Amino acid sequence: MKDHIVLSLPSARAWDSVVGLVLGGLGTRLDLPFERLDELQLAVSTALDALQPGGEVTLEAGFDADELVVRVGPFAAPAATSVVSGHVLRALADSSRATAEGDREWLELTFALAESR
Amino acid sequence: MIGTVRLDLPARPEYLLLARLAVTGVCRAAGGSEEALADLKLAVTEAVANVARHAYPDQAGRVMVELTLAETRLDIAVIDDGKGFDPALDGQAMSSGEHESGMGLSIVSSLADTLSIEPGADGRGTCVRFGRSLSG
Amino acid sequence: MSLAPTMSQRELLVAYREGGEIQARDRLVEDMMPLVRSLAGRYANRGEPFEDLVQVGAIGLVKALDRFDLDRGVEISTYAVPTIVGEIRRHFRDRAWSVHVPRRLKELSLRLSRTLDELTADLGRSPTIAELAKAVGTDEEEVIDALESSKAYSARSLDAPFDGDGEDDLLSRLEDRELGYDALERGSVVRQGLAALDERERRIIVLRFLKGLSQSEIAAEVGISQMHVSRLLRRALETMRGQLDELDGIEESR
Repeated sequence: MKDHIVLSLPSARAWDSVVGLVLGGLGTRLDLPFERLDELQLAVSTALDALQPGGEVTLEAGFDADELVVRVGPFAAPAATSVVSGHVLRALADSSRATAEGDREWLELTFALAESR
Repeated sequence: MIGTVRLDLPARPEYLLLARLAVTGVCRAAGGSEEALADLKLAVTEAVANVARHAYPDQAGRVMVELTLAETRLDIAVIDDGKGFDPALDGQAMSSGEHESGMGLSIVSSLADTLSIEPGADGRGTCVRFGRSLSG
Repeated sequence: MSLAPTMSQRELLVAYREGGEIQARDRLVEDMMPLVRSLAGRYANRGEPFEDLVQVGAIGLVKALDRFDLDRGVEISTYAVPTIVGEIRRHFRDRAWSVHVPRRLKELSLRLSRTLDELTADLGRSPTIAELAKAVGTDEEEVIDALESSKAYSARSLDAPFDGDGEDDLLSRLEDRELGYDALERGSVVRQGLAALDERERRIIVLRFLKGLSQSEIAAEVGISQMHVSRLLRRALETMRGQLDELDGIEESR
């Protein structure tokens, strides 16, 4: 990946707008069309909904000219997201998968960029 | 609300936007005044721009912006891992505003209640810390 | 028709929905207030007075009673929970919008909504934030700020209607049958989640995720703004999530 940013913050809902705003800034720099950016924010927001409050969440976004990969976690394994969220994430992102790290899971969402120009 | 937000970015001017937006998010969520937000955005802009300009003369580097919220107070730390400063030599130039960094940091000092400049962990790089009340 | 003193919840609901007996509804609501108070209690100590949350939760209960499908096997109280919780959460968002969002951002949101739809039509594609900023005459940061703030808005806000979108649009007039909603497996998790939504929210979800229309296509088709489509989607997903958490016995919510 050509570049990346890392954001970490408390997992409580009250902090959600920080994620939305930082992703908004990133989407602006990547020249994402509005609709793509909105769905990126919605996908991440949907993923975050699976978190329990009281902990910390980390978001790593790696990107180059062709794609943006967003990694979110940690979630308590197994399957961090419900069936519904799974449907939603697969519709919003180009690909969505969970990777295990010990007893924790990370969600990885990929968004193709090149075609959106 | 109490908590810490950490944003790790490439130390390049185009990423300033993200640092400002993170500050916006925290201030609004905490119910801070628009004036406090404006001051803190300007302060973080100066501090991060400083890093982008000076910390990594020879290669690409990164900057960490740490926002620590304690109800009605927000403290910000801008941390880089690059060319540090020598408190003895640069310190004086900094506070007198002659040094270009000094200009930026004297702006920060006028916007914040507190300001400190220290070497980073392990003596590498620099950590600029400043903070302000969010009310009024 | 007079109400017997020992009618069950279901009997009361039938009397209300089929017999038009308001008294039956009122008694049912009274009966279920402990549930409302218990749910409101989960959100106490977050800066909003408990009694306000109870009142708002009661509105959610009434909505749920109006929507509940009498043919379903599910308990009335189970069905009502996500709607009650949804109203309480909406209340927090409304308060956040009216208290925390500066006026200039509210006004910018309104202009952005119109500009987004116009630019999308003109360009034949979704505009970038840079293009939006240029079109409304402000900087990118303000645009991102306004867009994020507008996510906190819900139609029940104390402010004047935000984007002029009424409830009387094609979305309300589409038939569930047309949308292929019936094709979903009965008892499936997805269908359970959808059951917690009101008509508009359910149709938006079906159009976006089952029919695969883009948000701009949905907006054009049903005659509302793109930003409104986005807000409805978010709300719907949140409510669905609440319903499924409830069914899984998850009590603590973010």
